[in-house]
Amino acid sequence: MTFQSVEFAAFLTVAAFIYWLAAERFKRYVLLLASYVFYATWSLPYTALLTILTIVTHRVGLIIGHGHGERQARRAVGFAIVGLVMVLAVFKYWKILLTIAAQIGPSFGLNHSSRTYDLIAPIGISYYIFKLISYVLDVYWERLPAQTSLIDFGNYVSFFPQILSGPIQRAGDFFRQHPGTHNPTLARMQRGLRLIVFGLFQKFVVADRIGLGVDQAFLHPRDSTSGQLLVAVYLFPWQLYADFSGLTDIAIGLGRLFDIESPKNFDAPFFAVDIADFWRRWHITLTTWLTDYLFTPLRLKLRSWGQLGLAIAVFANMIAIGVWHGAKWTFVLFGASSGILLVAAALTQRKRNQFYKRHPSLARARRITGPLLTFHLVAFSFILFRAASVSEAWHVFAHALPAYLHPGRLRVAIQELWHGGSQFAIIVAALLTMELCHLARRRALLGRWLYCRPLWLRWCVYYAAVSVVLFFGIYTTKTFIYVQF
Amino acid sequence: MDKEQQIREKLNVIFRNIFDDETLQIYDTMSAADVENWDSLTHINLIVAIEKGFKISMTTKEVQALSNVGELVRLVVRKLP
Amino acid sequence: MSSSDQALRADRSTRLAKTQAFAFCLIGIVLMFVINGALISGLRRLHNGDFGVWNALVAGDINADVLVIGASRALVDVDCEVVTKRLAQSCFDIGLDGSAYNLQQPLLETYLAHNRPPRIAIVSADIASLSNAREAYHPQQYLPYLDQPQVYERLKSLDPTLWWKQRYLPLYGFAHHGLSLTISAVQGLIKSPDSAAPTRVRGHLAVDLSWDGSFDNFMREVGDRGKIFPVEPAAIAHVAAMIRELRAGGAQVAIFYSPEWREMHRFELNRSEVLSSYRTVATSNGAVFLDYSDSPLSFDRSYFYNSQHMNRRGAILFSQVLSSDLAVLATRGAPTP
Repeated sequence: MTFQSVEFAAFLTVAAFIYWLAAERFKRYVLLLASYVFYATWSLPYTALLTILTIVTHRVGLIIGHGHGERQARRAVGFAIVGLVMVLAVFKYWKILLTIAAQIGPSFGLNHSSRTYDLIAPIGISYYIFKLISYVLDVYWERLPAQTSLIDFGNYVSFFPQILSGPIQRAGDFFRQHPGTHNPTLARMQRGLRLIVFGLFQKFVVADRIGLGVDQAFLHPRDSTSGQLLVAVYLFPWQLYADFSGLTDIAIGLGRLFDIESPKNFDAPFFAVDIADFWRRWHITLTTWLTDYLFTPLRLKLRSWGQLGLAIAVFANMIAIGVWHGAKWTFVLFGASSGILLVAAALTQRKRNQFYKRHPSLARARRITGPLLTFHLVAFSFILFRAASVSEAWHVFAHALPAYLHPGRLRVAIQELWHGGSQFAIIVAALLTMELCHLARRRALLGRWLYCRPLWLRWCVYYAAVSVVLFFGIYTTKTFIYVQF
Repeated sequence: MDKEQQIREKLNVIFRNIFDDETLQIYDTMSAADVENWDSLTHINLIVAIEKGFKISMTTKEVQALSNVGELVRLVVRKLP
Repeated sequence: MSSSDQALRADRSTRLAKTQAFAFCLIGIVLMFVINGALISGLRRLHNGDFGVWNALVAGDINADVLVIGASRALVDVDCEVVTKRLAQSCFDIGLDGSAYNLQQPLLETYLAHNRPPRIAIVSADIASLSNAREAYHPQQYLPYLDQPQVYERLKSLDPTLWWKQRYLPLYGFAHHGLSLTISAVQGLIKSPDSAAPTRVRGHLAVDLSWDGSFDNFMREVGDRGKIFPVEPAAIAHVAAMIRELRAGGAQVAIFYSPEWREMHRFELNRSEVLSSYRTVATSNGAVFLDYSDSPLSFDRSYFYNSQHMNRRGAILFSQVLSSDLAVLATRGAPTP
């Protein structure tokens, strides 16, 4: 079931009511059952995989955490990490492995059959395997006591609001909230529902509407004009942001209905002053995960290599971000290009800070020029993220640039991509509304604007919001971009 | 106690140097959230500077297990001969 | 205030909050049904375009003497004004764009449930139509008419959950089909001119286009191999059923294959099979087969805007020819099998 389906709404209502009405000692079982029922609607065999990995990792955690000695702990950690990474690699890079096997197989006397096996990766595997790896390492590094209850651990791994596409919550953060033991307050439930509606707004009114035009340009780049390509390059980051931010907000809102607070994934990414700042504000749970479990350990191992060690660690980190998204050269190059930019930023961090300390007026200007420059760097590197192949990415890049010389073409391009001006007007209005809401959330303005108003007014706003989601949403395109990862 | 005090003072100098802040004063519950420039990049610089400054060597596990400055102080004390 | 008073207060405020939540949901659901009903009735008040034809149909306002049934070729090729004038009988076109016979049959049955049976009925034949549609084209046009049992049953057989949801969940259809449908509904409610929809005169859609490039694209795609068009017994069964239903109402029935751009013929590898299937189903059910695919009109590209569809001028000329043949049919009566 996808989050926007009627079936999910029915499932959620039933699951939430049973959870709220259940006795305290049963709530954790209700939650676990709900998560597994949800996952099973996607695939029954893969539910078995999830179960097995959960049980094995739980056992490994107990071995590490319950004082069986450092050597045994280290072997258990190694076994778990290698095993989990291999499972992830097999399912995500299946096609590549098959191609390699097909090429080297004959030299071993294995004849490869002409049938190509298409393995659909288990849904959410990139997310829950990362949860499992982080748990094992956190227990090993003594940041967290091993979780004795298999039920509670199962709830952490399979928590259905987060399993499809994050946010990737840390075990400590999750268990600290005593999940599956109590109901949310009515206020928290309301906040959750409001966030769900806002998430649906971001995904279906903003992202999918932008996608109507942008998808067309990226699907057929050779048939698109330079104006269309440049417009697509500028708008795709917003589409991706609205899509994923919307999905994350729905997940956080759903979690609140079960009194679980999930970590946030975005923090006004397009206000970042430089590229390093951007990666601290975009897909936060993934980047902090990689920082804590890949970058920092690697950097520590290479610390005697000075700046070279730093560069390698940063680069490896960004390649990992790229490759995490899938087994395509475009993702590798995306990671590599982001890595180059980030290494440059990291190496010059100190000098830049000192420079701006000495020139305060330039520092003030930087608050505008910084985000503008960063946005351009991001938008152009995202071409690699979106394009179907490296050659198409190059085509988009090369052919979008000439449009800078003919700004008039952009207006024509907008008309062409969205078949008239009214769709685009809706997009602009929706984007402004979205950013206004994000601002209100960051500065806690909703208390003054909305929550203190009389009941009937608040209800009108809520009914209007739901209406906007129903009437202005685009529901005929298929899935969320980030569910496929 | 005297030895620990010396270690704290030396650490303070290192902290001020790494984070470019002459007014910085470390305390036991201080962590990355409390210092402006303290992120994953500068964290490693801090560790390297501490290892050089005290001529000690820390394992990955020991570093990753640290959660605040107090634990860092105790780790340095343990590591010193 | 004593602690028991405080507890009582807390308990009451929780109950109040829960009551408010319940009221919010209840009012919301009621609002959804009310708005849904209003929007549907707005669509039912439209006069132009496809909705206009549907609305006239279910209101029983058509009652045509000559009925044209089929898909897009029926819709654009037959100029009902011409036929009405020539035959001095009212002619109406209920052609359903992009449909196959499995959807035209329930439309016909709905027509017959509300309007008197026609005296003459013609069903359009196409090279690609002897194959059942797997899903509905332009699905939004069906939303206000899901209370028509034949239409609803057929749609449900194509996609059970989707059509059930559209019928019984308020606002589901409007969310699913997008803003333009809602705007049409609002226009119907406030009775503003439905400017977006092209006018269907007596159901006929006149297309003011000249030859476009789609046939050249088709030729490039298919190359020299040509294409074999499926001939499904299930589709033929629908045609037979329609003929029988029309004959039961006392109509003279003809299947007509309207003109088709001549160049297309060499790509239709099983053309003779398709034509003979139509001929067989027609004659074995008491209908006539009128084949205009080789008519002189098929040789002039200025009458077409692509290989399958005639433009306004072509439709007028074809309708004149068609009317003469229908006049003969009307006087001679159905051919004996």
